Amino acid sequence: MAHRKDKYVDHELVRYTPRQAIKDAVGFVVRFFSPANFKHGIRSVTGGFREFSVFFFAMLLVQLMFWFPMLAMEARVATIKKEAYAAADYHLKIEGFSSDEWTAYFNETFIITDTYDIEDRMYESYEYSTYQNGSGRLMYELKVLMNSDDESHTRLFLLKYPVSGENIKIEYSPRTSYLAEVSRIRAIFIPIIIVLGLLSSVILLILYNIRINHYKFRYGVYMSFGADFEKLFHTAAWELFSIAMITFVPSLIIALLVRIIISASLGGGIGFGIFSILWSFLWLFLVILLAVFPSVKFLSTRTPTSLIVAGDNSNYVSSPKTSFRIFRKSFPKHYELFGFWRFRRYYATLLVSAIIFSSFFLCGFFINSMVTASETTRLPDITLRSNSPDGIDVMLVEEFSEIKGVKYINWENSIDATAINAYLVLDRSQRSGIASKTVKTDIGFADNNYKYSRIDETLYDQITREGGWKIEGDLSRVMSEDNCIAVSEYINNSKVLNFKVGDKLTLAVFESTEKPIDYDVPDNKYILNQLINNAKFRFVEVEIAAIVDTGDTDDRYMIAMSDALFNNVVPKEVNASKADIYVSEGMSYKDLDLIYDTIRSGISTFDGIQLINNRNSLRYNIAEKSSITPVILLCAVFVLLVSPPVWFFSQSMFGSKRKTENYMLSAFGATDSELGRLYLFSGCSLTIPATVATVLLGWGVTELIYTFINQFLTSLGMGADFRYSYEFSFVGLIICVMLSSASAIISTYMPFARWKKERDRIARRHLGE
Amino acid sequence: MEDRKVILKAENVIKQYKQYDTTVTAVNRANVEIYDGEMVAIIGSSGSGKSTFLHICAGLDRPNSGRIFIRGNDITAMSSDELGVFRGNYMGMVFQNHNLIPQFTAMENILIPTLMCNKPDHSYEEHFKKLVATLNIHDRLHHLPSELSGGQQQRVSIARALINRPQVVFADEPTGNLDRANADEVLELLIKTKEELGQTLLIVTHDMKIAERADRILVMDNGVLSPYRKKSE
Repeated sequence: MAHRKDKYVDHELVRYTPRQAIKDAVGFVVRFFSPANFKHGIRSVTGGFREFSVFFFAMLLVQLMFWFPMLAMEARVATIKKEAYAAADYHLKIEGFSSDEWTAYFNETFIITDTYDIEDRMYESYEYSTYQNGSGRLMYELKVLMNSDDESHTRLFLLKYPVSGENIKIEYSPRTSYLAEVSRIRAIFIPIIIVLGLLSSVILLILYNIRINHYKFRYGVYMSFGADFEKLFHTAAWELFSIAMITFVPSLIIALLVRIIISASLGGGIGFGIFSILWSFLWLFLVILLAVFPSVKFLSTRTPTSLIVAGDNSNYVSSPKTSFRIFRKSFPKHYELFGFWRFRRYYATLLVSAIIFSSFFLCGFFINSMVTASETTRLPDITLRSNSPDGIDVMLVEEFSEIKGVKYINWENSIDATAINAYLVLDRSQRSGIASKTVKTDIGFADNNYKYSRIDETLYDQITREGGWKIEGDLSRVMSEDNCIAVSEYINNSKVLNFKVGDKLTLAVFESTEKPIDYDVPDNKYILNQLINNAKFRFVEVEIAAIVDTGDTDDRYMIAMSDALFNNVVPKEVNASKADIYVSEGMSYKDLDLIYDTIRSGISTFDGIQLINNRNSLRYNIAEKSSITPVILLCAVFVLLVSPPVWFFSQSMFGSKRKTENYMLSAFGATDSELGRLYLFSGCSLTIPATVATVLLGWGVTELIYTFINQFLTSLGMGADFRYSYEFSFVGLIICVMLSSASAIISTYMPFARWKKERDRIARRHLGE
Repeated sequence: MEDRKVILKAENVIKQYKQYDTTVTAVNRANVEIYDGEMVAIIGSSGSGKSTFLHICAGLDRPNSGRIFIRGNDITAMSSDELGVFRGNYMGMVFQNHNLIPQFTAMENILIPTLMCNKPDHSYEEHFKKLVATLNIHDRLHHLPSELSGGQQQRVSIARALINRPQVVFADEPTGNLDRANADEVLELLIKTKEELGQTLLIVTHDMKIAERADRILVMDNGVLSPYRKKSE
């Protein structure tokens, strides 16, 4: 079969074989790395420094966008190790041995190993201690320091020396799990670095496109004399590589200095490896290839004549077709407006190219608010879970809240509305984000995507004393008035309701049904519809006394109420199934272990209660000491800083082509002040579309990301497990608008000022000065 | 003449483009065969389509239909990349407006084709010296185009077209912007180097005096190419 690359050369058919294709590809790569390309690249960028100055600046920023997250990742990794070592001096903790179990395990494991198996010993040391459980029984606890941090090593130890017993509980310490955490951190950072790489490619692509657009004539000449895609691609890529090599060391030094300052102020670790440098080369290589390929590929498909002609035509502001309309129009206003129209594609491209970076900057604010929330939100250090129908006794909660170092306890005493066939009635204005899930009834819109929660005196005391919830309104009325409730407005991390303190709500309490309800349908709205049509309900009128934000990212919103009202609307007994214990900030890991031990003793007489050490203090400390928010803000600022160079680079290139036009206009009577006004008018006029584009792009892109994270990812079950709020940053928007406007005016006026200076210099030279 | 090898062949070449609402036929079914070592001049009034035809023959522009063969190779069927390499190796172009890159010196402008075709320095050094001596621009090599006269700029443009020793040279009104004395001098240089290097020269001009120096004259009239006949014929 004929290949599209088969051809006749000097009347002979030359077949294009796969072998030839491989040879061509290898040749392409080999020629790419030829020293001549390197030499040419260096010579080109150092010789034409002014022409490439914007690329030097951009490349510095691009490399910083690699080094900042890379060093932040290494700092996080170093901090994780440091904190994990501080949190535990053992790898494995086994608790709950009875006296007999302990004796057997001790003999089989440690005595035998230390006596006969010393060569294959898997641990460095071990220690054991005793404690009394609630019923006064002596229990043993073992802590083993392994001779490797690898989790698989610890697991192997447990396989070799298996442990069994009625109350045995095994816990891997942070010293064992930190390597997994390191892998997790790398798995988070690497995509971030890749995304920043793509962004960097976009930056360089935009700049290189502007360069190609303005040097069409030059490229047309190159192509007339033999330049093909390969030549143009090699030249373009090596020009950027050469710039990257020149800016490599400065970018690394700046990034390291900034990292040292950040780490010193936060108290975290610093990490830097030789592999980072190798990664940086690979990253840069890919970023540059990706940036250069599309523009050069497109360029190479154009005919040299079209490029040369395009270069020539762009010297003229108005085409002959437009020019005749200039009669009886004012100069410079109308004249320049025609120019705008004539070059509308150029201006549209310029606006989008320059302003897209403002929207990325605003996205930086959004991502920063999200990361700040994830780093600063306090999650419970210890969690109690009850599997028994009795739940967690309120006495226990009261007792544990008195332990020194416990800040407050939040426990869940709630039930889903769907579990008791309940619903509530919203009015149209209240159901903002949940409208599609509600069912229209005679008295409003029914919804059951919520849960009823009970607030008793102890929980109320905890919440109000330590500020675990954000409260708007008066929560005390919920305790004192039986028709008052508190509501949360969130599902996952999205505000779905629009309540006001003082709003009235109707709660529907299920009584009976005459027709059977089909619960097997997965459509909750359909079930609700059946209930409304077929069941009998009792209605309870309530008033919203407080709107609260519990910090939870649950898939239901909350209707919280007093014991009395709860018992009135929930026709079954509900007990607390979970209690989250928060400790004081800045507590040492040893003190936290002591609190854990105390709670462990306290619950041992209760059946079915599980105790979980979340070690969120460790997570919090790591995040605090190696926070990535400064890096995010810096990267956002860097991206914004690309915007003015795009304006100046593009407009100075464009302006330089108007030199002839300036001379022509001067020759026909235009004064300097008129020409100056022409450029000022042009710049000021550009601020209008620039402002509109900044607002639209800034708002649009951030809204897109917000929707992607809060709705799309959440719908896939990947929502954030912490609450973060985001409001469009108007300060950021004003900064962007001001920067765009200033860039538009100055970058448009500058070529005129430069032309005037050059003209005066030539005139002086001609006068012999 | 018929015994000589055909180096350039145009078959039914048509070039049309849209200008606002009307379609302009710049080249209308042009057919021609040009032989190795021949000098052919195309004459015609402004806007007759002769430069467009020359650009198509030189592979700088694409026809709407028809084919161009150079040394038996159909350049209209070549990809942009293949054509670029082919142009660099076998063709040289002298533009009417010189098309020198304003930021480059005369020498840099002349050497562009060697750089584009990755020619090693030793392969063109001697030829370069000879060219600049013949074209009498050896003392202007480090000047920017803006510092050269029109005639000097055209000589630089010719040197650039000839540096890779192309087999076919295309010249688009090479003397269009020059006075009589300069025009004659540039033409002499072109013919001299053609003879020395055994090249084929296709020249577009509206100057009958220049055209008469060619082996053959073709006329382009409203896009139609035909052999030149003197009025007496």
